Order: sequence, then C-alpha cells, then structure tokens
Amino acid sequence: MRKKTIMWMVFVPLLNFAAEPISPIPQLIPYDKLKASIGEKLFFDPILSKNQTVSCASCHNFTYGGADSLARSIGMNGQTGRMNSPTVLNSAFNFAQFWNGRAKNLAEQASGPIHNPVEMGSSRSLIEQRINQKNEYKKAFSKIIGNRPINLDDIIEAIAEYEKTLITPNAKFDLYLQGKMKLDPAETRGYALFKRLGCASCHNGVNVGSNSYQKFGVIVPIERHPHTDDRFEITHRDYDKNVFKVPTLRNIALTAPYFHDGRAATLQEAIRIMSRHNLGVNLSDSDVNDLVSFLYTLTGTIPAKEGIR
Amino acid sequence: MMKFPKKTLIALSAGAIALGGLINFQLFTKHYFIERQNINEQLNEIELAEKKLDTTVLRSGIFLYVNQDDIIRQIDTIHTMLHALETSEHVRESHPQMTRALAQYRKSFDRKADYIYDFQTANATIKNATMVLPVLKQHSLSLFNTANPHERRFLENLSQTANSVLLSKNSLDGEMLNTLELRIGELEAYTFDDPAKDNLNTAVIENLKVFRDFFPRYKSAIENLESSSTQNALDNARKYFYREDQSELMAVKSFSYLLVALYMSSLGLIIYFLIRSEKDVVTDRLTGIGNRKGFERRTRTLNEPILILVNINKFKNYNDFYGVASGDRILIETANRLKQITQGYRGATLYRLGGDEFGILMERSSGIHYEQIGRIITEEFHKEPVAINSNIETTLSISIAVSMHKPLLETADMALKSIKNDRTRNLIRYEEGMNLYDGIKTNIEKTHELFEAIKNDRLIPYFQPIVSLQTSEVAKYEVLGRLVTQNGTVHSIGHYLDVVKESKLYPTLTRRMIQKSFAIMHDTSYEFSINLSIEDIADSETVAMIKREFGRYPQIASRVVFEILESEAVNDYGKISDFIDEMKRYGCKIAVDDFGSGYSNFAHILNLDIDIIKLDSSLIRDLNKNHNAIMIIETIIGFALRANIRTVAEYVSEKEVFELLQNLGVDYAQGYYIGKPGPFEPHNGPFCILSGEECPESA
Repeated sequence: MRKKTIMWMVFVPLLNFAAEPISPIPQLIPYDKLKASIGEKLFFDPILSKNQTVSCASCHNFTYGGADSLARSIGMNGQTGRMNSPTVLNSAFNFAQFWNGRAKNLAEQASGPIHNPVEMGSSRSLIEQRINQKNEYKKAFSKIIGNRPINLDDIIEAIAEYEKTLITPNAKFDLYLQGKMKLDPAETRGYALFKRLGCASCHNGVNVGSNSYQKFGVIVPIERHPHTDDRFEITHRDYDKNVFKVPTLRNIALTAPYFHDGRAATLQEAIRIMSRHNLGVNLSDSDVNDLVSFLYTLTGTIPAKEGIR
Repeated sequence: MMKFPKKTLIALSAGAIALGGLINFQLFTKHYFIERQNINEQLNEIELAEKKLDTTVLRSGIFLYVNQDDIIRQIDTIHTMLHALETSEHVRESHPQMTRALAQYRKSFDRKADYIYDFQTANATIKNATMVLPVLKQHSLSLFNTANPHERRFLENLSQTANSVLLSKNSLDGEMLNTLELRIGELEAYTFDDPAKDNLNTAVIENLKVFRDFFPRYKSAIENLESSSTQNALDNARKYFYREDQSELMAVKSFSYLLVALYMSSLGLIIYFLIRSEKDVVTDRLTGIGNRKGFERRTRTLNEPILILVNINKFKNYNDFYGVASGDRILIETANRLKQITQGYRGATLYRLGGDEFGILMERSSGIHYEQIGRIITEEFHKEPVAINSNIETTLSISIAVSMHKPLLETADMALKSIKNDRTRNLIRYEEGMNLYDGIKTNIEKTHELFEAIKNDRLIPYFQPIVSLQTSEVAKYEVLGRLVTQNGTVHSIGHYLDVVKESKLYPTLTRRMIQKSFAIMHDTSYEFSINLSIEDIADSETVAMIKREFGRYPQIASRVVFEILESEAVNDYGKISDFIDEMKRYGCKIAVDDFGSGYSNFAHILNLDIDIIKLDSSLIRDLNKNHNAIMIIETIIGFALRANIRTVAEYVSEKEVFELLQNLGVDYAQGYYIGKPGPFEPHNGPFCILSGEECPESA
C-alpha cells in the first residue's frame, strides 16, 4: 500500500513531464507521525547494536548524503562490511532494498544490519529486552500498541516509517522539471548527454535509478569479488554476476565514494568508469564536466536530524 | 378456549420465523451480490492491470527514454489488488478453491515479475547497444574511405552485421546469434593504422558482443513473458470463483424458494384459518352441523323457506338425570341421524337451533314433502333407541313443528309449544291463526302492571263477607288479593297468577296481602281467612313474617283462618301438617278449600286437625237442580258435625241455594248473593243490608 501511494504521488506529477524519463520527488509521502517520531529516535540510537556503539545513522549519515564516506562501511568492533553503504535518503522510492534487492521493502531492510554480525550484530531477544527497559520507548510505543511489550517488528516498523520522511525534494533539476527553474548551459548539455549516451536507460524514474537490475561492466567486464552481494548471490545464474540494483543518482554529489565497492572516489572517476565499462565510450573532459554539472542538480533538500516534517 | 392461543402461537411463530428468515435472506443476498460484484470487479481489475503491465513492458522495449517506475508501480498495484482479494474474509470463507487458485496466480505472477526484471536488465543494455550501433555506423561513413577496398569491405561487413543485428532484435531470431559470432570474428580480423578507425571497430565489436551476450537473455525473457501462465492462473481463479459462486447462488436460490414456500404456506394457513373460522361461525361445535347463524344466513337467501323444527321432548331431564356428557351424546346421535335423513333430500340443510332443537331448512319450490320427512323422523326415533352410554339406551320422544311463516323459528316454536303437552300428536303445522304472539305480549303487559302495582303499592286486599246461615249475620271475611292498575281498574290476583308465578313474586304477594289484611283487621272483632298455598307454607320467610305479625298484633291470631287447597294438602302432607300444628298453637283456625271436588279424603281432614271445610263450588252451584250434590253435602255435614268441623259453602249466588243450604245445616255461606268482594267495611246486622234484598226470615 505504501509503495503504491509513493508511486502514485510520483506518477501524477510525471504526467506533466511525460517525455522525460526522470520525475520530480513529491513534497511529501504519507506516513504515520506517531510511529515515525519513535523511528527517528531509534534510527539514531546505538542501542540497536550488540555493543551499543553502532546505530543506523552510523552508516547512513545525512552529512554524507545518507551514506558514509567509506568505500565499505565499518560496523561493530571495526569490522569492515561487504558493500558500500547505499543512501537512506529517498530509499522509500527504491523498488527493492540492498544492492541485490533481497529485501522487498524498508522494513525488511532494517532487519538486515540489525542481525548482521559485521554491522550491528544484535538479535531480536536482546533488542526487545533492552527497549522494553527504556521508559521513554515504552511510553512512546504505548500510544500505538497499548500495554503489551514492544517487539522487534514494532521497532522495525517505526524505523521504516521514519525513513519515509527522509526524502529530498526541490532539487534544482526537479524545479526545472516543474518549470520553476532553468538549467544553465553546462547542465543542459549534461542532461542531453545523459540521455543520448544511454545513461537514462538505467538511471531513470523518480529516483534516477533504483528501479531495475543492471550489469556493472557490460562492455568491459569488471572483476567480481568473491564476497559481493550481487544478483548472483540470489539467483545463482552466471549471467547475474555483477548485476546490481541500479543505485540512485539523487544527491550523488554527497555520497562519495561510488559503486558497490566504493572504487571511485570522485564523481568524475565514476562517470568515466561507467561510460567506459557500461557504454564503451571514452568521454572527453568537457563531456565529463557537463555530466558532473547535471548530476549536481540532483541534490535536494537534506532533512534535518531532528524534527519530523 | 385452548384452541385460540395455540392457533395464534402457531401463526405468530411462523410469522416470526418467516420474518427472521426474510431479514436474514435480505442481508445474505445483499452481501452475496455486493461481494460477487466486488470480486468480479477485482478479478477484472487484476486482469486489466496485467495487460497494462504487458503494454508498459512492451513500450519500454520500443521507446528509448522510458521511466521504468511505471513497470514497478504496476507490478506493485497488482500485488496490492491480489493481497486485498486474498485477505478478504468473504473470499477466504466462501471461496476456498478460489483462494488456492489465487495463491497459484500469485506464484505465477511473481515468476512473471522476475522475468520482467530480467527483461529490464537485458533490455536496457541491448537498447543502449542498439542506440550506439547506428551512430557508429554513421560515424564510420565519414571516417572510412570507401575508395579503399579494404575499408570498403569493412564498411560493408559493419553495415551488414549491424543491420542483421538490429533486424533480429525485433524478430527475436536466435539463428542470428550463430552468424553473429562469425561476423564478430570477421570484424575482429580487421586492423587499421588509424587508431580512430581501430577504436571505432573496437567499439562496434564491443557493442556486438553486448548483443551477443545479452540477446539470449533478452529473447528468453520475452518468450517467458509471452508464454506466462498468469492468464491461465487468473482464469482458473475466476473459474473456481464462478463455481463456488454458483453454489452460493444455489443457496440464495434455495433460500428464496424456501421463503416463497413459507410465504405460500402462511398464505395457505391464513386462508385455511379464515375458511375454518368462517365455517366455525356457522357451525355448531358439538354436533358439527350448522348453527343458528348458518340457519339465518341461508334463510335470507331463500325465496319461500320452510322450516321443520325438531325438538327432543323433555331433553332437560336427560341432562339432569344422566348428566351433561350423556346429554351431549344424545344430541350428537340425534344430529347424525337427522343428517342422514336430510342428506337424501337435495336442498335441505340441517341446523342445530337451540339446546335441544334442530331445524331442517328448505326452499318451498324444491317440492320436498315436509310431512314425509316428519314421518320418517318420527319413525326413525321411535324405532331405534339412542345410546346414552355403552350400556344404556333410551327411545327419544320427538316433537316436530313445520312453519312457512316468517319469523320461521318463532312461529315454529309457538306451534311446538301448543302441542307440547299433547300426547296424541307430535307433528304440527303453524297456521296464521295461532297467535301465541299475543300471549307473549299480554304476559309482558301483565308483568309490567304487576311490577308497577308492587312498586306503587297498588296491591290491596278485598274482603268478601261470610255470613252465618243460622244468624244471617256476617261472621267473618275472606281476604282476596286485588291489583289496581294505573287507570284504576281493579283485577283479581288470579288474573295475574301466571305472571306472578313466572316472575317469582308470589311470596311477595302473599306477604303483602297478609300484612295489609292484618293491618286492616287488627282492630276489628271479625275473623278473617287468608289463602295460603303450599309454596307459601314452604317459604320460611313467609312463615316467619306471619309469626312476626302475630307478635305485632297480639290477640289477632285467634281470629285468623288459613285456607288451604285440599289437593295441595294431600300432596304435601308433611309440610302442611307441621305448619298447621304450629299455627294452631297460636290459636289460628285452618280451613280446607274446595273440599269434595274429587280427591276428598276424610282421613286427612281428621289427621290434620282441620277446623273448617269449604265446600267445592261444583257442589254448590246449581245445588237446587243437582240431587247428587245434595246427597254429598249431607254426607259431609254429617261427618263435619261429628268431627266438630264447621262448613262453609262458596259461590252462593241465588236465594234458593241459600235457603237450601240453611236447610241442609251448612254453617256459613259466601257468594255474590251475600256480598261481592270489596274494600273492608264492617257490617252489623243481617246481611240483607249488603245486598239490598229483602231479608229472609231467620232460620
């Protein structure tokens, strides 16, 4: 139901821009205020990790566009994870969660890091025990669930509800799509290239990506690490190796380093790798710069840490 | 009486059940139709959404700049609709097979979604390659020199390969892949000095390889999508839905049939009860034949009706003697027999018109011979006794009256009454002259007068003087009851005796007479006689009153004479005897009235200690012409003398009789010759002053 609403809110504005493969982020997605306010607390609370040092925000930091600044995130006790942290911002628009889409919605995703020994290493029983001892959570949850003890599903639901509020509307490009702003020449050229080169074949939709699985290294293959969470891990089909959920380009200016293993430190590098490996094209510097200018217009209003809108 | 609540209870219960059923039915069918509509719509929506999805997927294959959110959104929509259907309570409860089929559909749809994702992966890649190839081709034309045969051949190869690739993309021709491998090899064999040319070749080869690598997946994704079994699964679900729906519909149908049946049966019940109650109104409960109401109804419809009234004589006795249950049995048996008899006559209907009265009604023009029927009935009951119970039988005595004059029942009843005590006949026909109607009218008038007289104190005693035949002087008076009507006419009580007895005012009358006569006579010295009947004597109130009056007027008792009818004295000997003893103790005298009329019994007279004998009028009237009477009187005188009993002769109306009686030695005389009854006036001197006649010489 939530996805449907989200998609619907996206689609209506899209009607105005039927020709463009990108649609603007809506101002608001409907969410449950009560649950979201608790979710916000939980999102920033390291109580959800076994040794109480890691919270969701540790790897999904608003300063870094909802991700972190590492190639691969570091979890509990300094352990390095397998993948580069995807952004939490606008994750409500993803058609699936995780690099290989193994979680079908935000709630399912939230369960992952919680249980992952490398990330937060906790368990249902531990979390439930701790949360039920905290009066502020008991009081807050009692308004929703009454007097029964809080369970992990309530917690996850609250976090998912909060994540719905983490959208970044009013990016320059969105305003341009809505006819409220004009792009400058470099940005215009960049967008034209974006389409003509075929970037838009995979990076489209409201989240400029995140709506299909595509191969990384179509023309020029990319080596596959043995511990990669790609589609092959799910389907075990050879041709699914290095096939990932297309990441979003929203706020891409903030979420370096790039790609599933964080191999590209800068946007220019990332663009060159993409065009070389996936399109078989060597771009000129000016083309790269134009594309960078365009990508910068995809940065929207980052939500504040406190205060649910 | 029990039948009434039971019927109501049945009707009410049936009504309540029907109402409850109806309400239930309403809710059920409404629910059913809404749900059916809903489910139908939902299934249609899912099918439609899937078709839309197919279109969107196709579009994304055709168009270059596609927003893939549409695909995702439409997949999501189908999931939502499916979920709504699967979790609907109604579906889960009433359509288990459909639910299973829906689960199948979900599985098959999820597979389709996976195919779509696969397609998306292959499609985007191939699309890009498809976009690039023409560009490279175009570029190659400006880059390469067609003059150079080597380069020319390359261009041809490139063009050919690119074209066939683009063609087979749309035709999904897998064959193409085989030749493609060769062509890639061919192109790879080309080398150029110009790095730009080499780069172009490389780019072409790279894109061709993309094609080569991704086309199988592209093709199989499309083929999978084409052959997707989702439609079948959905059709299956729909099939089960209809099948299960049918059984629900059957339930609705059978329920509605049930309701119709219930409605019809309650209608039938109502009609039945209506007819029954209509019938009941005109049916006699005990015997099952028609009742008075039925009789009246039919009478109104006939032109010239004839009523044969059949009455069981002295039926009340059977009831009293054998009990009401036996009486009922007799009535039922009588009704049955009469029914059998009347059945033989078309147009004759039988009714029970009263307690022991039955009526046969027919049209005069039907030509039925009522006399014949009468005879048959009489014979039937005369021949065959009627069972009172299993052991006892009795032969009923029947009276039959026929009337053709309206009002039928009243006239026939009148006729019947007139032969009630006639033992010789039991069949009579009412004739116009029998106006017993007037009798009834007179009775009512007389009763009215009586009541008025009592109320307004117009019952007064008259006194008739009785003279001594020896001294010719008035010795005593007889008290006779008189009623004065409103207009002043004086009637004797005898005129009213039947209505007095009927209205049970007899004791009142007697007591009134006694009180009044005592009041008038108490301060005279005359004896006076009061007539008492056995009823009066048996009435303790009256006797008590007499005693009270004695107490009121001391010394009046010795002047009181009580006259008693001899026939009554004979019949109720015991009571009379006790009374006489009592009264004699007060000093009263007792006279026997109408002595010598037939049942004279000297022994009784002596035993009862009678003081006075009043000779019967039959003896006195025409005494001068009746020798036998003289003889009888002489005998009585002789007896009376010896028994020390006085004798009084009544109805003396002639001088001759008076003198005769004197000679015979009767003690007193009374009669019109001596004086008519009238209000009390004391008389002194010989009676001749009364009549105004010449005084006879004293005896």
